Amino acid sequence: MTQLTLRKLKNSGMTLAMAAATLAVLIPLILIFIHIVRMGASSISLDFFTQIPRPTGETGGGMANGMVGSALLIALASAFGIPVGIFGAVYLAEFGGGRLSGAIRFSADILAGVPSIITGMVAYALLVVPMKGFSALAGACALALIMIPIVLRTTEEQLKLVPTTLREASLALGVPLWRTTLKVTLHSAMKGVMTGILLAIARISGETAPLLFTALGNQFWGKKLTEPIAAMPLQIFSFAIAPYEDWHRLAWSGALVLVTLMFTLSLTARYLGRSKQKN
Amino acid sequence: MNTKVQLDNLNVHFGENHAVKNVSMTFRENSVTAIIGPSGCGKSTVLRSINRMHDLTPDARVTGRAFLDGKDIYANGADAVTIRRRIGMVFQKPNPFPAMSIYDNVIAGYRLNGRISRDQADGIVESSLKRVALWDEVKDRLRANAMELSGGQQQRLCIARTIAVKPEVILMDEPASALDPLSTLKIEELIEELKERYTIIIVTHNMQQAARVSDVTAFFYLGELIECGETRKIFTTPEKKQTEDYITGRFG
Amino acid sequence: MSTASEEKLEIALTHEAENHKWRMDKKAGGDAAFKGMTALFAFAVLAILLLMLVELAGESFPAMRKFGWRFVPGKEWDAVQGLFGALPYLWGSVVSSVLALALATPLSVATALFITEIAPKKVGGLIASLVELLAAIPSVIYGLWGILVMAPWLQRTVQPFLAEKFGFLPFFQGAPYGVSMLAAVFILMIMVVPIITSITKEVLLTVPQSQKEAAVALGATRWEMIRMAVLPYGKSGILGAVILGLGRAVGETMAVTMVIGNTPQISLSLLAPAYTMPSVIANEFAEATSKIHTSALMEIGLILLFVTLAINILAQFLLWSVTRGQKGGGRI
Repeated sequence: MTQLTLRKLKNSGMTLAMAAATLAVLIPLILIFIHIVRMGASSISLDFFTQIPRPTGETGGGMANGMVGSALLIALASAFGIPVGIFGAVYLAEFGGGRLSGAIRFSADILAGVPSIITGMVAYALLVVPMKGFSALAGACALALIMIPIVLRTTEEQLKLVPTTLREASLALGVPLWRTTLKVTLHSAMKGVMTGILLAIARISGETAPLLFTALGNQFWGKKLTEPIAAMPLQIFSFAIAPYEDWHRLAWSGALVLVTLMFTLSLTARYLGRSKQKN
Repeated sequence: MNTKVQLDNLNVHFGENHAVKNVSMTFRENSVTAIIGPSGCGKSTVLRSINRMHDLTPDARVTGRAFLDGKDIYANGADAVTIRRRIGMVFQKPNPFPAMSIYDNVIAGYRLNGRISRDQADGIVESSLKRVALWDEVKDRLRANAMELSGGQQQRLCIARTIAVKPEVILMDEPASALDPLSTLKIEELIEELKERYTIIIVTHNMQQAARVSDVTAFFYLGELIECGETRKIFTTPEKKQTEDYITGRFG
Repeated sequence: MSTASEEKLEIALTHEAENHKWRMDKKAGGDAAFKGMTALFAFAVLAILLLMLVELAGESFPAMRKFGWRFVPGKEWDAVQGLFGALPYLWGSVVSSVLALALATPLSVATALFITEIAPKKVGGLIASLVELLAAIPSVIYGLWGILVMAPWLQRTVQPFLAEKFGFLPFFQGAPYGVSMLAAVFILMIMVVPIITSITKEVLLTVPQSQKEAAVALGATRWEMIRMAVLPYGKSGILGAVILGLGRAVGETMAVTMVIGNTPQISLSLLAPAYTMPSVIANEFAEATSKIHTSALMEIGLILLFVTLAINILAQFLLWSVTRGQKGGGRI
């Protein structure tokens, strides 16, 4: 075998290896999706969306309280996290530029890599300890803390993309800076900012760890914001590790609903991002 | 003299764009052929067809034939890897491998064909660098990173790297356009020496350079070969009006 | 922007300007207040980070005072007796993460290379999108699949096989439980591959065409071109991607908790159950029995925070040179 043939063989071999690796990487994705759809679809019924979990041993029940709880937590977290993230980004994009801004950006990037369970511990120290109990508020706080760095960075990037000429035109017409920023710059970047927000929401809707000792979870409907509340990821967790087949089925259905939700959010975000590019 | 490379009805399409149209010409062995023409006339595209670089471009389509020593390099079963061993290329912007030393850069191509002994490698590196008149400047720092060299030195390094694999043809795509005048002069002197061993085809937008270094000049316009002939004749008594217009600077 | 929206904007702007022509003296005050308010929100990010460090450090203080440095190499974890030592969790975290990375890295780099160098553009784009999809799946769902599908499968097939063929090695001894270090390594590997692949793909896309052409022109095969021009160029970026993946692996909580077996022991066997730092916090925090218990868990959290911070800073540093070269300074 000549040297050349050997080289070509090696080339083919490596190409095959890379293709095999790609396949190996994609296989778990396919397997997981197949499982979620197959196992999850079997338990989906009206009951699933309207009932709360039955006591152990009984069949049936649903994850209605978890869905409502998750929606509430996300809404609360967003109410706090989105404005802080956006306005913080406004500061960085419009007024920033010094070392301090660099430090803030750096912190945001670092925070994105902190395990979410630690964020939960911070929310625990901030709210659960003084309130002497677990609560929906604490859960929302944890989620908001996770959201803020994400929204901040994506919004800042979008604001930076707005051409300076737009700001200058507005300022030259006598519009004050704060109004220029809100009505002109932010408005122009809105589609991209929305994309970032949707992705942040998709991210926190799947978070479980930070809720374990803040929102805690609830077998029933939560009555007050200062009480523990159910959330879908928490329920999926407890159902999955329990020894009851019935609960396992609920967990798969919950996973199906959660994944569908996140998928929809991501697709919407992508669609928004793409239509913005066309403009 | 023998024909080393021959193009027969060569066409290159990039999607809808018909970049090179029905080009037929020959390149003599151990000569320097300059390909000149205004920007966008297809000179680089023609050059890159000769060593099958368009294989790397997904939407490129090459039709027609290109012969190296009488064998069509685009025939079914022709091996691009071997062809590129025999036809080397020097690019417009010097592109030494930044992660390698000067020594490793020179021997990089040769090493592809298997292990060689240290002595053998030393010999090849030295002779290649000497042939591009770079040896004296770098012999004491062969292990230094290649990016420490100046632009002109880097280009000569790339030429050394190209000739280290012992090609028969060297394609040069505007090799001096990114360099200062002194380096340009050195490269032109180099071309004069290299033609003794290799067949050189050089694309250049600098007419004076073409007149200085080449034996044969080919003038291209809008993807077509307009005129090809002895350099002296092209620059003094061109046959086509378009050629004359370009030579005298009326356009391009 | 199209001219239609430009026109609309111009009309809106003129409208705004007319509204404010006579409020110019208020402008300066309004702007200063605006700047101040937004600054406050921006600093919130710094505050969160500082808060994290301060709160964790503060709450761990009781445990730190009681156990001192012995906390780190301490092997006993007994809430009833009030004995707490972090070593089993450090062991679990380090071993599971490092092994997962060792397996994930070649797979990820190979996939990224396939996407950028081998697959046709559209196919590559599709594969990249699928990989991103993998990255978006929440940890708890990986855990669900892990505990109900993967772990039982491991228990039925892979683990008995390993115990039988390689049981003479200390790494494959013990009964097959399903939930084990091995399961954690597998699930972490699956979760970390998408991250490393995405970033490596971005890094590989920054390799200049001229470098690849130089290799090809010398007569290199495609694999030789990759080895000669692409991989050396992307070296530090790929390393950054791997280290970022390590950071994620160390911090992974739910999926690992659900498949690792949650037993604080230090064993060389991959078949044995284990415990990681995030897992013990997840399992015990809500029901921590005493102040010292909570404090010990907080201290574990502090260690976890420091480890992930250090890893992420290192990764950012390595990737900084790559992100700088990107248009718009895109964050990776």
